[in-house]
Amino acid sequence: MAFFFSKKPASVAQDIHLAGTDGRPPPLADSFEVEMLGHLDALYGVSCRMTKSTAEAEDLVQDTVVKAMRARDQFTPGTNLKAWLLRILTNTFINRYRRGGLERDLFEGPDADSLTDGWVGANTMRAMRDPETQALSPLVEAEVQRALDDLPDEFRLAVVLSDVEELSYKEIAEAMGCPIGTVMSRLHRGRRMLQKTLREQAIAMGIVSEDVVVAKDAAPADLAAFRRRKRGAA
Amino acid sequence: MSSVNANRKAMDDCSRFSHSMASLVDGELDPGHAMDVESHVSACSGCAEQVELARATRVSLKRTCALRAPDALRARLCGTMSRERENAAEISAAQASISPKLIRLRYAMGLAAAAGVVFAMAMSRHKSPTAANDELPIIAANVPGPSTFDVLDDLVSLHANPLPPETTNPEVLQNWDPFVGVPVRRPMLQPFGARFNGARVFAIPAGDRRAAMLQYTVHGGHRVTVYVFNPRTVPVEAMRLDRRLVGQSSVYVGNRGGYSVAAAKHRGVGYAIASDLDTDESAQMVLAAVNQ
Repeated sequence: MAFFFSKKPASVAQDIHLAGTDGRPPPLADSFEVEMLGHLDALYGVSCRMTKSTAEAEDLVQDTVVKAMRARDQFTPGTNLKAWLLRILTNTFINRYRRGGLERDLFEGPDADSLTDGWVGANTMRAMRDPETQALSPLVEAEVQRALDDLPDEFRLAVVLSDVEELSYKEIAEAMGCPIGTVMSRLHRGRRMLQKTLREQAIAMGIVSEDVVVAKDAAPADLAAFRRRKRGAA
Repeated sequence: MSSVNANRKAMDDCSRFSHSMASLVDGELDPGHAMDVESHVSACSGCAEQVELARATRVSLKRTCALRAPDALRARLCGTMSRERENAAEISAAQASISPKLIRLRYAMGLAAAAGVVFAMAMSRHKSPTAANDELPIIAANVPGPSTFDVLDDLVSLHANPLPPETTNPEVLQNWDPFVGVPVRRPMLQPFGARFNGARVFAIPAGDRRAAMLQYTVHGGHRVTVYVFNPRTVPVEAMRLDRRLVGQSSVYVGNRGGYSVAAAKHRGVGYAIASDLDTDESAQMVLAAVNQ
């Protein structure tokens, strides 16, 4: 077993060789399999966030790998293998847990609240970040996983595929089987919900004070100039 | 009053750009549009903070979701992949014997259908070659998923061509409970002079279900494979075995290709034994496994 536990990617191919030894010459692992194992952590990370259970996450990864092996001829070499694998994973997740497909977006129609409800003062937003690490301040970051887990599946999936895995809108649309506009809408709403939860948490922890600022604290200095420039360009 | 109007206009601008700002952070804007949005952001402290916060959230989400796949999963997947590779080799060997006419037909079916053929062949690889040849194109079009169970064939072929064990340490078995869905405990099989050689988790090809296989050598040097599975996902009754009553217990027995198989369930755990011993001995052994 010890050979399975080596951490270096270079030894992955060797692992596969050894796994196949039982007297017969072992079938060789090829670059597709080695590259797939290289994305294993990403597959596992997304699976954990989607299933919220390590046991189910492992099953989901297992199913994804089996399907990928069987469908490998459909993969176009040179394209994004991680995105392709995440597409299989997403489909497997939707088929297994949500037989009817993902729910329709919770709020149909235009944003009723776009102007004021999502409004957070610049000071609050600044206080939620840690300028040193370019991340959220540690106390807020500690709540990220819970806030993410609270999101409905379709929003969580969009946010994870975009923010964590850096898939393009097009790749997310292919993975989730929806138009790009729906991806953007899910991302927008998912991120806003996430931010709302985190802000409430920050307020509860006293990191930021509650701000119900409706007016802007600083108008753009050269708004008129900006408008002129826009008009000139148009 | 005029300052209120200025504020409102600024907010109009912000709301106009609010969706574009996400696309800016996501790197999805074309260069011209990106310049417009960036010039607004650079002039608007609120929107600038919004962008910074979006970037900071992205960094934190990444950190939170950066998990390393457990070594046990990695090990299992290596086994899975090598098994899939062997299956694929069998399939291409089988394809070599398909008549040219059928091959032309399959080309015509296009890429997606071709994948279906591969899947259907995986499903039907235990059938006789002639039957597989004749039925293939139709199966490919109609079989939606692993609906047909021929678990008995799988149990026999896994015994006859054993995969190497994942572990030889019996204490590792309990780590597999979540994979198999039932407690995986090692039957001692002492009356049979059993020596434990190792075990692994595998997916039953016909049902796409997980089970554990434990490998033993018993008196007389016979290899015995004990399967531990969840009888709710792998129903004993669906194994095409004959039911036999031994004392109070039901045992399901059968033979295939010179091997005997016996299965039984106890307290929600399924056990099956494959060996080259005779049916009665396999039945005795599976009863010893369930009743220990």
